[in-house]
Amino acid sequence: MRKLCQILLLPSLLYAGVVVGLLVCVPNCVADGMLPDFLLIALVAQVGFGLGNNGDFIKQLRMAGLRTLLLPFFTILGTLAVTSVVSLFVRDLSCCDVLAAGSGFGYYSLSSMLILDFKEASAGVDAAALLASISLLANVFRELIALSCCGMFARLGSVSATISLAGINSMDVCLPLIFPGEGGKPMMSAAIIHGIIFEVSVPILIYALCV
Amino acid sequence: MLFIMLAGILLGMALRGVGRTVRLGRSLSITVSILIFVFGLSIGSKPAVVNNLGSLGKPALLITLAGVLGSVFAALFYDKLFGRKEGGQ
Repeated sequence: MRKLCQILLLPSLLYAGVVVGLLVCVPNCVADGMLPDFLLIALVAQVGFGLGNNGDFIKQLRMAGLRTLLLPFFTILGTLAVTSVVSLFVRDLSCCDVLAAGSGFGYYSLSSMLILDFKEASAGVDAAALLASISLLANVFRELIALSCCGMFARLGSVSATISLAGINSMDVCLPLIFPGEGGKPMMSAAIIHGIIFEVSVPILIYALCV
Repeated sequence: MLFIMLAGILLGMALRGVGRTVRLGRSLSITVSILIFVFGLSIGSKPAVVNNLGSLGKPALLITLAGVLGSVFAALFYDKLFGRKEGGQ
């Protein structure tokens, strides 16, 4: 019962926040992302501190090899493969457009801005805005799913699948959900490297799919 | 964000080097909880999300589910190829 409460606590807080945000007038510092950004910085700093303070993480990083570097590419290929099939069922958008929207991996702020920028030249302002809005929603949903399910997935099944589910968030907000408790754990370096590779590959993928 | 993490790692290593292990478990849990609640607040208060939900929500959700399923299945295949490693607790 206690474990169930622990698993449900964070998703409950998340959806409580969404409901409160819908119903109540929220201060600008929250709505425009300044407070979430500040809290994310505080979180990442503490995670980094905990990793550095524990000797195991550095050993893991030294041992990270090709296997660790391949996980993000599996995530990318799996996402693109299934998304390309699903694109057949999405009306009014080409396969490349759907793939571009799905290539944010949870990075909703950057992906939507990049799509707006890259798509405007080739398709016009309206089409770019439409695709950017879809991308924003799709990546917000992905982050919501990741935040809701990471803790549960990590306890029930494969850590690799949980890291892939988290997408770009595997290195920051989802890291303490995938690896609860202090200190370095096996696969932590894989989760961080997974996120780092997405920081680089998301802009490249979106550019390639939009231009 | 990567630089913040690196700075945290370096500070943690520096304090480990002087024989001090700092426990951040409770502080981390509190930060995660507040962050997730505030993230929910920011999503619920975003007009770009709320106003478009009706018209664009369905295709967006389809794209999300495709991405999530594709990622998870690819990772499970990765585990089959390389062997599963436990996260540890």
